[in-house]
Amino acid sequence: MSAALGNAGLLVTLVASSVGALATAVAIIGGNRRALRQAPIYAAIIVGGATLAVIAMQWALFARDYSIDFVQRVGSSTTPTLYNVAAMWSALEGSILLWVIVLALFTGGGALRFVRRRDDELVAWALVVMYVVMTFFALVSFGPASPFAPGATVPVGFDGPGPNPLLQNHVLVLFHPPLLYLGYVGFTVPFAFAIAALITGRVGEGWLLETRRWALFSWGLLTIGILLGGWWSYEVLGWSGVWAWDPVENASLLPWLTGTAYIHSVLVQQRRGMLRVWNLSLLVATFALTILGTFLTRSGVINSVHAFAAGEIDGYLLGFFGIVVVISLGLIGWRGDALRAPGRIDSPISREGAFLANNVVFALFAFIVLLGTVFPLLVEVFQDRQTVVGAPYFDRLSMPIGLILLFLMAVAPVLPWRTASAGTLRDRLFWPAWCGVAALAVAVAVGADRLAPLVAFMLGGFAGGAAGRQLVLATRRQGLRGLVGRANGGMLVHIGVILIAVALAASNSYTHSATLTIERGERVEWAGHSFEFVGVSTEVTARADVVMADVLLDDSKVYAPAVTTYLQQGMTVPTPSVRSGFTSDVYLTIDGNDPPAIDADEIVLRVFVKPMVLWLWIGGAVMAIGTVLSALPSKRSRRPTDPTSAPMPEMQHG
Amino acid sequence: MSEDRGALEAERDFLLSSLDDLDRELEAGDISDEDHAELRDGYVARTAEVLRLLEADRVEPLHRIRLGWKTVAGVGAVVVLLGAALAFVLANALGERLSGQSMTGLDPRDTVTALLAEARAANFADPAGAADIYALVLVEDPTNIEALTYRGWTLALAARQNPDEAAGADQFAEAVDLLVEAVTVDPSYPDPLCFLGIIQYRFVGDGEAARPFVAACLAANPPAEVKDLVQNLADELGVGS
Repeated sequence: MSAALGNAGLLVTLVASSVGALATAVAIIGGNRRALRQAPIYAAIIVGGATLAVIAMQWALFARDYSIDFVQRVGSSTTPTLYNVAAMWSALEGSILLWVIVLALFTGGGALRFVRRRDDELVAWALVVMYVVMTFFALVSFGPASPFAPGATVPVGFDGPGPNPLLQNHVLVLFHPPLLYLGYVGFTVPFAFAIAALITGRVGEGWLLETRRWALFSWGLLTIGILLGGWWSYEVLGWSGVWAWDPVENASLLPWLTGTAYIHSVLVQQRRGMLRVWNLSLLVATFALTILGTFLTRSGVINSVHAFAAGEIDGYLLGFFGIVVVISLGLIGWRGDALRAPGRIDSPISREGAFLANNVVFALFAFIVLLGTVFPLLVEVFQDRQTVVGAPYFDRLSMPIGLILLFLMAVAPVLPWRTASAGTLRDRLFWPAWCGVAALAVAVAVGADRLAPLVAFMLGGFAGGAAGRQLVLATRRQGLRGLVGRANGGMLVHIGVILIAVALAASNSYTHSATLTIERGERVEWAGHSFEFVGVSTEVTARADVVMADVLLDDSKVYAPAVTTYLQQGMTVPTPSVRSGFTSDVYLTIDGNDPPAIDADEIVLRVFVKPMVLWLWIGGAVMAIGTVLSALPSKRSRRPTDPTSAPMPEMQHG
Repeated sequence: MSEDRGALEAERDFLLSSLDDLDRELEAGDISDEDHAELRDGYVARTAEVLRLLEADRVEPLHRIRLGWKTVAGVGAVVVLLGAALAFVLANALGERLSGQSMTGLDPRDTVTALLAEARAANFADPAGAADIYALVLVEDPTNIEALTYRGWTLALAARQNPDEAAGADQFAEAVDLLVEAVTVDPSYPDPLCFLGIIQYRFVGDGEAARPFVAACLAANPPAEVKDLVQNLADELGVGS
């Protein structure tokens, strides 16, 4: 029953999106206004179909419908309800279904938002593009990555293994993937408008305003999704880090980098009419990189290109990626003349000059990450040799880039548009520069050493001072309303980024770690903390056996790093226990994967003392708040899109 | 109405609304007085240009981009320097990727990978130590083909150096079992076939038993360092000649 409903939902989605794309395109070309006005109806049907498919999948997981192959692989009667919901995106087919529902909701949201302008050619072509993208993902989900494919006959009493144990031991699993997908998929809307602008020739700044909030919203969700991924890694994986330059992580970072460049350079186009080709290219790159990222993470290619044959959707994703790139570049080339900028950068020492520099650095960063991520594939294709690009490549190159970005973050907000005089710079940079010096002095006073982190702290203070200066000026004029609006909300986002950068510099540079062997009842002192092994406790459920080593930390509270054995999979997963603080975290994890014996005389612990980790998460929260504030209008409410794009004139009835 | 005219009208509307926005942002403290004046001048000039084109009902490119040879040479030099720097860092960070290892990053979560790297470093200098590390890998991943093979091989080497004959015999038996299991797990992986050939011929002295393993090893295209070990033996047995 679930399979039939799910397949029906996906089929409805596929048919509605493909027919919608075709019918809307024909209506635009033929000037059929009546048919054009029906275009948003397809979006409503798409939302209905995708919702039905997701409800069917959730019901199948809830009811443990083992007639479905996907449920046989990720379902289990022992999985708690919370993780049973998340089981949908714990494997390929379900994650494509998640993509389908998110894309359907964005398509529906886009159609609803612009329903009054549905006979505007720009909006209509944007809907066509969204329907085409929807058709592709619905096709993949209905065909090669079907989550409702029938499973083999199972014996009576069969119970599945449940999702991967790593995906059922922390609540962040519920939020990290959906937020990441919301971020990825959200960029479909600005991409669709960009393509529509190219098709219609309305390549001025009108389409930018249509999509500014969509791009900002998607960027914000992608940011939060990535940060939650780092948090999950820290809380679950037991190696005490938040980022390992894993290809899956890189795949999420790439569209974030190009998206970040876009939300900055779009201001230059809006203000000065420049960088039109660049902005279109960034949007195309962001959207294409989400597809490439899906290919990298959802095929076997991460382990070996020889796994191509094992994947079932690799060819589809690569083909779609190629089509997106070729068509987009073709359209940009076709509209080359119209895309010429009406203005030019008068001086590199100007706001637009700083934005351009920021964009070049972000683009370079994206290229470096992309090169490192796909280089092993290129080597294997051309030399039949399996290689790995180690973390030192990414670390060495990202550190100077991060410092340059911090510097630009300090300077850009105080630079005026067009050109800056020495006097203006001196006045505006005075307090930010002193903030930088103060940050450096504080860092040295608390014992920080080594050049790179010290420079990071100084630039962090400098950039924080620049953002603070803008917020102080705005709040003096407007009170708390001065925190609202694009520029001022953006400064809050900058402060969040600075907190994260400083926290990363501190935690990466000054982490202490040790392996401590502690006998029962013994009290060991290390790195200014005391650790006493109190004993071993257990928690037994039908799903898993949890064995915890109780450790009294600093004579104040017992922390319990654990090893969890998931009975269905026979897999052991160590789970760290962390004491978080504003200055440092103490991170405890049991060494190795073996659970300690209940009467163990001693315990071997890996202990990390990591400074400022809490500020990573605080910085993330500040970024999220800043993103919301920057999306709000700074004073009176108005619909910025209304006057920017003319409706389709002189349409003939077909 | 032409497509270009429609675009110009959209541009005009955008510029007019932006002038409104600019005043609002000044009032809200988003931008300074200087920025407001500069941007307002720019918008006014652009609006005038668009209105002029609309009135003349013609469309022409506003500016053409001209690149001088100095710009081209400068950009070219930066790209070449950047490419060289990237290639240098990339070459220094490049390593061999093992079965099951992801293609970027040094994944500290992957204890199997770390253990395998440690074991490989000890393979020849300390066979017994390497065998112990491979045993840890097998606890994590009981069918890890590299660990099965090389624990078997290092155990066989350690058995020959073991002064305790009975313990050495046990080690030897376990080594052969592991290598046979490795062949069962992946018959196309050449290393255990090669090592079984070497063990049968050099350690046990049974050329006939060694012959099929050596032939299968060479047919499976073993890595150079393993092939070196087995090539002399193949010549002596007349395999592949």
